[in-house]
Amino acid sequence: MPHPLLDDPFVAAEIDRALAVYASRLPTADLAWARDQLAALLADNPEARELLAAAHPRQVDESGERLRPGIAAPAVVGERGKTG
Amino acid sequence: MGGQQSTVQHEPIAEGSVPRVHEERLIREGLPLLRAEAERLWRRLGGQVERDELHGLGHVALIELARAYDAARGPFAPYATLRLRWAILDGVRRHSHGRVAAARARALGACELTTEADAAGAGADAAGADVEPGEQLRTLLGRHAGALAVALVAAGGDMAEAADPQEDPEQAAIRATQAAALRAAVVRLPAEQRTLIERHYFEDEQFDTIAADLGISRSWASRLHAQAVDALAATLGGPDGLGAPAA
Repeated sequence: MPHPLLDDPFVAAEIDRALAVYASRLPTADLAWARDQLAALLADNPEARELLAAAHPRQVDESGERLRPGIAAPAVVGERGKTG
Repeated sequence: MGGQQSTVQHEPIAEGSVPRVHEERLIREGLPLLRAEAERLWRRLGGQVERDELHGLGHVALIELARAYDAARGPFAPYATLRLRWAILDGVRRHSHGRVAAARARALGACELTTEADAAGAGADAAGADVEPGEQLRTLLGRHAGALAVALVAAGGDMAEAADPQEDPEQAAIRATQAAALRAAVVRLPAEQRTLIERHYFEDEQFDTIAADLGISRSWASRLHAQAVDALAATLGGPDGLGAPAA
């Protein structure tokens, strides 16, 4: 099962971009596994997580709650995450 | 799971080397770390190796770590976690867990070395404070993608020794072609980088052993490794690749 962070379109796009140059040079199973490993890196490594949080486009949904990357399937920050 | 017993046979503790009290305390302290690391690596290896097997590989290492630990090195937990990770990855590579598992263990090791090199400052030039976060993120992902790709391609050279009968012939051909071309590219690296890559990826030697033989610190060796992997990844991912492009 793909890493849940890959549900985030921004994360998936950045990871696919990083791996695109190897697309014809690695077997598809290796590419799929490498995709998961890069997602795990962004989820588990503190520096990578911080960088992702800084780079991720800010999104505000209709409730006005800010979406935070780094957690499975865009998670919503609680009360403290409300904008305005 | 945490309560499962390891299936790995452990060496009996030799007479006269019964763990002392502080070693037993360190082993108890290390067991939850070992369980967490074995679980983490089980997930990252995609279930290619049984959890219990990973736990067993780490358990042997934990006993040695507790014996050799010197408090002057700092707290036990971070010291042990990193070494348990390497012990498990080395064990997977060395103990016939199949070509796929060995290749993935090598690739995860390459990522760990990239992280170590970044911590030692190798990534400072490319990820300086004045570079915007999106660019830093792309640099980070690019370096780790390169490390994964190079290690996976290097492992493709093992095909002749441990061919996977389930692998599609076309995929196997990609693997073999790129692996042969990678070996040719490694020859063009500076001497120390070449030695690190050849001995670690092709001769399956432990990274610390190679660094010691070269008379350099692990930190410096990880930086040289990162430079070598960056160069190989640039060739691998370049317009012509390493060899004949896959159809």
